[in-house]
Amino acid sequence: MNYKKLSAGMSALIEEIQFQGTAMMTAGPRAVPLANDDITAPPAVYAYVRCNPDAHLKEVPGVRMHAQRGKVRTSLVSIEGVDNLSEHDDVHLITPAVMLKPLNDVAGVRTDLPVYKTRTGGSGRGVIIGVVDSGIDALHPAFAGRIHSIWDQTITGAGWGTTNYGTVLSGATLPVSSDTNGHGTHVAGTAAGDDGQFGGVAPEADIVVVKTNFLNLGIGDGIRYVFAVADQLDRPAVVNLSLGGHHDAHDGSDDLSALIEERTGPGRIVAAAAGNEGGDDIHGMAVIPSGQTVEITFTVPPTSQPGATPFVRLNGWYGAHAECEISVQTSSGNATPFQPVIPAGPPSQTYNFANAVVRITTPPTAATPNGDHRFLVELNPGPFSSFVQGGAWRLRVRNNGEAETRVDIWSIVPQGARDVRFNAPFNHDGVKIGSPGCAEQAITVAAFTSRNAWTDASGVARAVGLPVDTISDFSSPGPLRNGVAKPDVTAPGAMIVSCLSSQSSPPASNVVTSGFRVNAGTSMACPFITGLVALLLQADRALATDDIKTMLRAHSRIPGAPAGAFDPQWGFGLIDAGGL
Amino acid sequence: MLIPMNYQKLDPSLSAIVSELPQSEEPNLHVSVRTLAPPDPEQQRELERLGVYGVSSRGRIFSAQLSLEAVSKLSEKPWVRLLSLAQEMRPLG
Repeated sequence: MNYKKLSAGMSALIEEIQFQGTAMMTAGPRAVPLANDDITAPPAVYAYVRCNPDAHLKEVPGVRMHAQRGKVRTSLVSIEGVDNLSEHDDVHLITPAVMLKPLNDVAGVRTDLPVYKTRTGGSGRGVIIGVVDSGIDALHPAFAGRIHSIWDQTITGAGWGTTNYGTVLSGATLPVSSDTNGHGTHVAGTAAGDDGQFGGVAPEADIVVVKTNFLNLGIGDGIRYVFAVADQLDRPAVVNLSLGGHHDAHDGSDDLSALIEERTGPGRIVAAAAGNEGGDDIHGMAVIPSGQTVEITFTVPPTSQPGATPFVRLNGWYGAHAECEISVQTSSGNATPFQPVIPAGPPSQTYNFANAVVRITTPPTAATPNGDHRFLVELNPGPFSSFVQGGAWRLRVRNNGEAETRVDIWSIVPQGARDVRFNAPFNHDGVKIGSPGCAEQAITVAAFTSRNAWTDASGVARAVGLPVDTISDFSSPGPLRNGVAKPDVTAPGAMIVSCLSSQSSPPASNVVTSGFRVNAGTSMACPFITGLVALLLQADRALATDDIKTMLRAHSRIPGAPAGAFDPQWGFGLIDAGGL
Repeated sequence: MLIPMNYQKLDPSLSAIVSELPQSEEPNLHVSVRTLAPPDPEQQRELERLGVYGVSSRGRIFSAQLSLEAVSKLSEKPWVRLLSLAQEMRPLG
């Protein structure tokens, strides 16, 4: 027996088998279950076998391999089988299967997370997970005793530090804050939940919660709060940001992304969701030759149907050395004049039409953090409506420069309204990761569909039309506007079972059992990585973002692609936690 | 009469809104303040006096709740790079 190839658990089991023999078969509950209960047969156990990916192990006596390829295989082995495997040149490690709690059902198994946790004993103990989100159900049993504090930015109070907004709650006052949305509770459960039915990735991490006002400033202050608590407690910390927007340049130059770059470092990590606009035409792009004008059409939802929008914002960007003029034509055919950059004074002009009010802002490049040109188009209802006029509008961009220029535009509507969509040929599938997902120093996470069906609490079978075992089609693709590769990694984001906030009211079809619900989004994928980062920080508290990205990249894979391949939707692929 | 303002220091969203606001000392604008360099002690005092939070010599990005007058004053500071109106984000699940 080559004990160097046996995990500690397998070595202990071998000793137990050798000492007790068949008496083990009639013993009570075991942490390491035996695979057979026939006392006339030698004890056998299910085991993970780590080996060379093309190792031939089928004929090894005492071993029944469940897979014949791959570097991590499951098997049924006797002592003789363990002995033979340990002497095999292609075998690296033999680990017995252990009883685990289901980890968000399928997600953990699909990423080999149990392998990592079995090997390392990782739990997140000693690490702080910050959740900047819609709050948390502080009384959910999955978080019992581990919520350090909640900075609730929505409750009037003295604030935190030199801020003067919100209230910090701890101990008995934690339940004063609520999560009526349920999003933050679900996210926290995936990252750090600990319960008897489902489990988070880092079930022993401590949790610091910021119930944010969802302003990018409040989110930045929330990151500072979590890191300040971590400084005070001298602990490593990772902040989860399952949120985002499209008000920025999509190149990491915005203030929230810049703050992330300033505040992260060894033991100070931020993970951000990539976004859910993979299937939405919210990004328009055109390359305009010198002296030419393009008319970029976009469709505003009809006012007569649900989802009509009370305002539309078009966030436009083009290069520093270009010279463009901007005009808008309404769906009724009214058009503004072409507006150039206004170099001094108020850079906005408002145009009033019978059915719409259009404001165009064209400041000089000094007014942007990256030195490029930015323009803002605001569409508001006319005097006789509460909603922006529906139909086909045109954004007209005239390039007065001497060289061609690329213009990118993102459409923004309030939550609950239907998207404003750019029409062909100017709808562009990429460059949809906005802040904070576009922050270079954030670990940006795309979503993978690990399951598309579940049974709700009433026993009714439910399903969604997402193909399983592939990238979720809603996951926003990169790259960034400046070509930088994003996202970084993919993790399970649909359909994810996690903690249900008792203060929320999800559809009954989404409730799986008391205290737990399904949800989907890159919001659900991000905390998986956040929890995994917590496990990595538990092992090495000095890890910085680039260290972790290197580790994650080395253990991620796009199915069917060579190792190390990058894709604008997958990043470097689905995380393989077992290999970390 | 328009309040004096260096619009080159205002992002488009902030530019668009300040030109329509009445002159007021009420701090009702959520603004991100970006400085050219980490502020020195005198600049820190100035920032805090005008309503900027979390001011320190560490970093260049600070959040603030400012009056229109404070925006005007900060826009005229040579060591202030950019003032940006806070934007709303949303959960991604």
